[in-house]
Amino acid sequence: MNNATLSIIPISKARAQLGNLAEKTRGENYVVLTRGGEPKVVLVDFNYLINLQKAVQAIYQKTYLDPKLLPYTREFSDSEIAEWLKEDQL
Amino acid sequence: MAQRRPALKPATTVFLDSSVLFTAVNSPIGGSAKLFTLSKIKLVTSPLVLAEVERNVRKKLQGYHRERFFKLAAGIKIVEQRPDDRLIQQAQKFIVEKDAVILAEAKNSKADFLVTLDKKHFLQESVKNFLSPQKVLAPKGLLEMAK
Repeated sequence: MNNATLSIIPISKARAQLGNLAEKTRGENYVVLTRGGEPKVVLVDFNYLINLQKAVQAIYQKTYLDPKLLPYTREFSDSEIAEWLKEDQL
Repeated sequence: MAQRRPALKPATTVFLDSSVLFTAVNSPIGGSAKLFTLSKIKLVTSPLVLAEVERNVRKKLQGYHRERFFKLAAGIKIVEQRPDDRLIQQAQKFIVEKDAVILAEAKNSKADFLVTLDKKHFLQESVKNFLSPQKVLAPKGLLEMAK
């Protein structure tokens, strides 16, 4: 379950209370600043942002998909995948 | 009576084709996955096979399979080779065009064995002759030899 709390506040009002908003952005708590009623920027805890970036990098950095090799590869059909599973049974 | 296959020599190298690696990712209880538990053999494959399998794991399987793919790939020696167009053309004389790339990759790797689940196309005399002295067989056959 996500325990993060969310605050939404117009940028025009945020200016005067930036210090307080910075205090609110601890851990997973963040503040959305709006302009004209639309979300514009988000204040997040610095360490949370760094951890988030590391997590995203870990998920996406690993790949063997080399663009030079892809033209040599092919997409497997569902029927051959099923056939391989059958053949693989011990 | 069925003939017993000869035992494997120490440090036997085994080239995994795309069907075996993909199926090992897809099913943890089959023969392909069991190959990863054998200590007698060294599993090898090529960057091309990894790219092809990753492409299909992303397209055809679930998110958790991707994690399993990377775990299994970490246990395979990746031979440094690029597709050899001349060898692919030669392979096309012995196998259907769609499988010629993988057959050429296996030949180029110089591994002792090629393991495949594609019996229809790979486990043929013409393919065996092309690969000789390398041998081609299904995971079950290799597991039997490893007993």
